[in-house]
Amino acid sequence: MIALLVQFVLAALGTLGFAVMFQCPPRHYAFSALVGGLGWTVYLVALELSGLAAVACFISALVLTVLARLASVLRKTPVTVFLLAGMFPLVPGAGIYNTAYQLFAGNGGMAAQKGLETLVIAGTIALGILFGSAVPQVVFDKAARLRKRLRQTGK
Amino acid sequence: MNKNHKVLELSILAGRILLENGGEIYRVQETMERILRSFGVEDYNVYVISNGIFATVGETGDNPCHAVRNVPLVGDVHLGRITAVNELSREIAAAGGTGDIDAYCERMRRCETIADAPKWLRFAACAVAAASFCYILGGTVRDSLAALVVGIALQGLLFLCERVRLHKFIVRILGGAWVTLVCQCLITWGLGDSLDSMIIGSIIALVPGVALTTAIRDFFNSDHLSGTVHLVDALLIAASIAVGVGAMLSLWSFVQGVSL
Repeated sequence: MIALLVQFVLAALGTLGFAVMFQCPPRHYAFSALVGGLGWTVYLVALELSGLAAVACFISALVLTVLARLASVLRKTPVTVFLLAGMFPLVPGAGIYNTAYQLFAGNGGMAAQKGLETLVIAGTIALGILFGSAVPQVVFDKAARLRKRLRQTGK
Repeated sequence: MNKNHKVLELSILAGRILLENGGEIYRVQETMERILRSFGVEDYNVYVISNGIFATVGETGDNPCHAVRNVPLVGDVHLGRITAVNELSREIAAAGGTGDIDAYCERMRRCETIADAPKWLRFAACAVAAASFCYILGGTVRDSLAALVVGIALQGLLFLCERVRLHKFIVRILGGAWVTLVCQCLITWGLGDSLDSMIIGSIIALVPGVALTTAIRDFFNSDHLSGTVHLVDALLIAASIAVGVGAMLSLWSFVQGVSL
């Protein structure tokens, strides 16, 4: 549990780093980091439950896209602001490295296998984003309206 | 200049800033059309692809205007500018065409000049990103502390490349090689344990996450042409990193006299 919390915090920190590198306005830092951290946590949990990296990538990319869209509605800002930085923990950097390593070590077969794995991961992330984008905008607008109403009754 | 011309100018300015700074095609097109409509222009056509904008206004009327812009695919993301343009375009739409177009144009140009985050912050960001990703992708605490150093070194190289305006693929190849070299040196000096984790964490600032995400979202919005352009971009960036990392790994083992 504590290990998961550490992972969440570090993923959020890494995402924050990307938010800064992408010149995100400071007022959106918090949500950006939160979206990235949660996305990675979902990935870890899904990986633990399913044991398949591809499944975990699909689920976490989907959840991440939905979270980014929710943040975008709540903060009245383009989705891109939260999605671009938040997606980075999932991007298969390790796959690119392993493919390069095997290729230059002369293991053509292993390189092809690692390359294919990388492409499959990228593909499942794509599917996740696609399904996340397919959730009707009405749902998010309703969520924003609900929040507004809650705030009014709270006052 | 007549009104059509001015409105088109404002709209295409907004579109170009969004496209240059990492907005997706759908967003660019929607923003441009929103601005045109808010000034009461009904007779318009806007066509946006990943590296160009085409627009016409009032084609059948007395004052037809056309504009074509070439927007080179640079791939630098500036979310601050995107947010600023988005806010201004919403304000324009809310005002319903009552505002002064010249004043809006002036403010739109100012969106483009929004400054970058200070250099020390970007050094810190790259270092923190490298260290965090090193740890969550399987590195030890020692690895991720070493990745902190590599991140700073990488950002230094990126600033240098930015100044001499190197092509982005060359930047990726050099970046991959530089990260590998620094990691190898650190390992030799006894900082960090696992070369793999350190390199994987540190190259994260180079990987084509933006191109990949943008490509998928373009496909979702049926902008297949732009999606394909971004997808090819992502593949080439990934290949560039692989070449840089691989070449330096081979070179290092060659100099050391051991096989990879």
